[in-house]
Amino acid sequence: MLSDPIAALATPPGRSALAVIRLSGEGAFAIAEQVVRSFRVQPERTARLAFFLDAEGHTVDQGLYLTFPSPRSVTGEDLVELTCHGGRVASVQVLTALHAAGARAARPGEFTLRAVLNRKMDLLQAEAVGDLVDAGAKRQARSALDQLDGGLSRRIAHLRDRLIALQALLAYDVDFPGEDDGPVSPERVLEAHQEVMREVAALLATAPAGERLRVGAVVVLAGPPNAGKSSLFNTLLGHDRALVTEIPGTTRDAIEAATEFEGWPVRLVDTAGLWEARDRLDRLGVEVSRRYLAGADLVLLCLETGRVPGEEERALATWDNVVVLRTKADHMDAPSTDRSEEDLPVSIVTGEGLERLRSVLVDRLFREMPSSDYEPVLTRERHRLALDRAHQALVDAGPFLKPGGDAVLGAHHIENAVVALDELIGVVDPEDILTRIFSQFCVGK
Amino acid sequence: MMLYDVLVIGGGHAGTEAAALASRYGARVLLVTQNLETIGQMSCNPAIGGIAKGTVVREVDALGGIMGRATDLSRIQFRMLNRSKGPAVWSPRAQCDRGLYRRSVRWLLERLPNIHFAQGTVASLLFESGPQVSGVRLTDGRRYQARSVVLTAGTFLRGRIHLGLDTQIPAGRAGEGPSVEMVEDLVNNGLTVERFKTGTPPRIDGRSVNSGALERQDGEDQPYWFSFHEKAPHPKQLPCFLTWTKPETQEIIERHLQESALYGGAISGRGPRYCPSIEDKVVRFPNAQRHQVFLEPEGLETSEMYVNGLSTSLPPAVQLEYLRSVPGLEQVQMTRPGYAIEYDYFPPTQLDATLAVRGFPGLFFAGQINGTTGYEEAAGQGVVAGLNSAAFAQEREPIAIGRGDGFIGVMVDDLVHRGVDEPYRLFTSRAEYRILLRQDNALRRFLPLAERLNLLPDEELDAALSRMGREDEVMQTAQLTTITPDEAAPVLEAVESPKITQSLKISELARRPGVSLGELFRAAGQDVDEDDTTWADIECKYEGYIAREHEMIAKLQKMERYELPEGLDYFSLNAVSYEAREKLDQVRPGTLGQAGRIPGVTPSDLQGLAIEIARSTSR
Repeated sequence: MLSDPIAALATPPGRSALAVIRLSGEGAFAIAEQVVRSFRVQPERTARLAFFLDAEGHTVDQGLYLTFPSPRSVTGEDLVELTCHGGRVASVQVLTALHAAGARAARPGEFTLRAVLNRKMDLLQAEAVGDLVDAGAKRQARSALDQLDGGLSRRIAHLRDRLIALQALLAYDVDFPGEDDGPVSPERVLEAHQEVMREVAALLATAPAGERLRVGAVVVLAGPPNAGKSSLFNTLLGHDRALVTEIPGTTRDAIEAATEFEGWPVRLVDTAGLWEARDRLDRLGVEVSRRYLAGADLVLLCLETGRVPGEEERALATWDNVVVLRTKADHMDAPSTDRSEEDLPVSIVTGEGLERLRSVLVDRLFREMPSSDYEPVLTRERHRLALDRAHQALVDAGPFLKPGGDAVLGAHHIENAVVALDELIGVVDPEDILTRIFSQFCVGK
Repeated sequence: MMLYDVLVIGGGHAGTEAAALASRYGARVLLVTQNLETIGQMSCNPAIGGIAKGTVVREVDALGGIMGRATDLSRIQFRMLNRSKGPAVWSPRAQCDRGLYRRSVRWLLERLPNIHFAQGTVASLLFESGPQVSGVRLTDGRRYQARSVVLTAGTFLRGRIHLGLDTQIPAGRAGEGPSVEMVEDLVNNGLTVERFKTGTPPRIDGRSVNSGALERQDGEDQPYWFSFHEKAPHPKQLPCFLTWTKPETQEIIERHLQESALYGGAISGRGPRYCPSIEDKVVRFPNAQRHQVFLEPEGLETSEMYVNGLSTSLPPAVQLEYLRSVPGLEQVQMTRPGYAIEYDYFPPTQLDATLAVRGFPGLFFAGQINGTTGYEEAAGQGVVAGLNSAAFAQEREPIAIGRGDGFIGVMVDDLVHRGVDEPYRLFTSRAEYRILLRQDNALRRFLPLAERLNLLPDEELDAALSRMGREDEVMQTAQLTTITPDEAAPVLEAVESPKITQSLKISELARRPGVSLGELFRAAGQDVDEDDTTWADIECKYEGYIAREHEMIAKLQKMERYELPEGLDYFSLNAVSYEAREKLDQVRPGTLGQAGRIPGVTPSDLQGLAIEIARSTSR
């Protein structure tokens, strides 16, 4: 049953001043009546102070409660929100009382699942709930909030409307030959086709940056031993996370830490120096480093100022996603011949180049993001694949829309694009739905 | 008193096909009509076929209907519409001699076994043991008993003709009376009835037309037959003429607009958007400089012409005035004024997919009373109602024709599950699988059903099979014959298709757009009958797409497997938008697939419904 009453803590367990408990489902109010003294449903959405009682009728806490009668609640069901004191005793006792009164413990994600089942949000919005909760950077949170608000859903719906309008042009051409107005001009069809294709491509172009935005961009510090990678790592994080010594090869394993640059999420990785391994442990460290290099969105190749790059370093510097840093820029007057124009001098002592480094990073990682904060972006592989299919279908339609083409085949491909978008907003096959819901919301375990 | 298996009320395009198919499916049939002389009457324009409709004619023909053969016998001009689009939407259309068509229909009908005729007006349906229909009573007191009844009353149900504001004549068609009592009976028994309107243009005396000043339109010379049966000789072919309204025409209509039944407020019913009256065109497109007017011949033995494009409900004097403002018609004599007609129809969501009326065992509706327009749409429904009334009477399994089978299936599914809010006409874009549902393969699509139901006598079945055999042979030859670069060059050059560098199978080269299979054969020195190559040519061109559409049909059939619980309370479904809940409650679809085709039900509503099914099955 997917509407029986459930209750769970909405705030993390542990020591805190306050804790929020949510109770939702058929009969939620009857259960609340047993736990909240003098419980009343009306006036709804209004905070009231009350004593919370256990099964024997003893007072366990005093706090606020609000009622949200169906369908005007986040789950679409009757819902009660109770704010009690935090910590290990009070909130747990209130929750225990709710369970004793008949509310089952909610499974992970079950509140969101119910919101989807009751059409309070679509699948795109549900995905955003998780993203918002997990967000570690402001930009991440804003993007998730926009998706939750339906920004992406609306954009997809808009693209769908565009495709339908294009189909209508083709349908007129085929089904109404010889009307007063004459045939639709081929230019009008081609223009409509080009325009919707551009819009699909623009949204699709946000996918790499959007996925980076959701999970954080992976920025790997790499380079020879003792190039100052760990010092830079600590400086960029703003606290000492990696051990720093004068001894080359201090960092033997990769260390990862999350941070944000100018509001954008970054997963910074410090790696062991790339060198000839002295022992088995070194060798493992170097292997880990190489794996990170392969998976990096951006590599910061750290070379000490004045050092002539070795063969491997020169090869690495030619990669598209590598930025060469000249570390310890304060140490010596470097001969200018050994560094390329694009190399970025940085010093953690003087702070030279750090600001610039941050803005170069943001630019390189997130430049495909729309300039406005409120433009929707694709944040998941599922979105990208669907838009990719829609785009390919539009490319396939192209040749048939030209004069002398075959409007029926053109319309066939455009229909495929519509189907790809439909599947993104809401799939229509019950089996698909169940698979998707159960994999996403950990239901039924 | 005689007991019939099937009693058909009405002798129009729905009624005649219903009678024909019921007879072919082994039933004893009685056709009752107000006037035996008007069996097969074309009450509007004298043409059969057109966009999507031409395909329906061939589907009807493949099952043993009469429309295709009657058209072949009476056509006085033929054109393939959309020839420049893709072959999936090629649409055959024929001008017919109105009298010859009518006589051909009756002649073909009388050659079928066990069909009887009676002239008279039906006063009421007779019921036995509750809602089970048992026959009819005529206004003169005659009674006929039948196991099932097919009602095809066209525009005769409480029909009312309007000529301007002042003249209103209760009538079913110009010169014929309406049926009133029967509607009242059915409404009293719980059926819902609504009102539509439609109209016709004036007709004129061709001898008063200055045709020398007009653009002459001749038909195509290429031989074409709608029917697989026989290559019947066509009558002499006649031209149509094209002219245009002038700004004066528009002024006259604007000046008299308030005298129009439509705009003076005498008519309330809804009319078809795609077949507007000239008043509608003038009001809706005030800036249009001119409108097309086609003068179509009524027949070989008369000079009367049908003025296509000037449908109207203005008074006759105004009609004559605006006609004479059109170039070529300055001296025209009007023989019959145009008129608007309002009539009752039964919203077709009250029917099931066999066109049986839900809750009235043995009663079937077909044609315009289901809210459709067009001869071909009526004929297609006649086929479905005829087969199923015969099946009901003989206690056999109902026969369903689905969306993947043909345009007939698309139409019936649209009617009974989506309903209508204006007179329903077929378009190719109403079909999801139009690459499959073509005019050239209609016989192939329906012959297996005709064979299974034993609708065709041996010699007719042999004719159909041999036609398909010839087409198959062409395909095999195309797959076996190679063509050299030199042979292919002129054919490819003519359509600006790239040259080939080595010999290729003809079937492979025919995949290219614009490259005709017939011409490739000729270039390779093979002699083939053009009429037999069309199917193979199109199959080559659409090869990959055809496979994909078959996959889509399979997917659709999967959706049809998800049944919606019969007594489902749609208003309790929070997961479905309110608009969709109302629609679903009204239509009560049987499956998720049907629900998806109801207008106002969006993909996300379907998701909600799917979740509901998932919930109820997981419980």
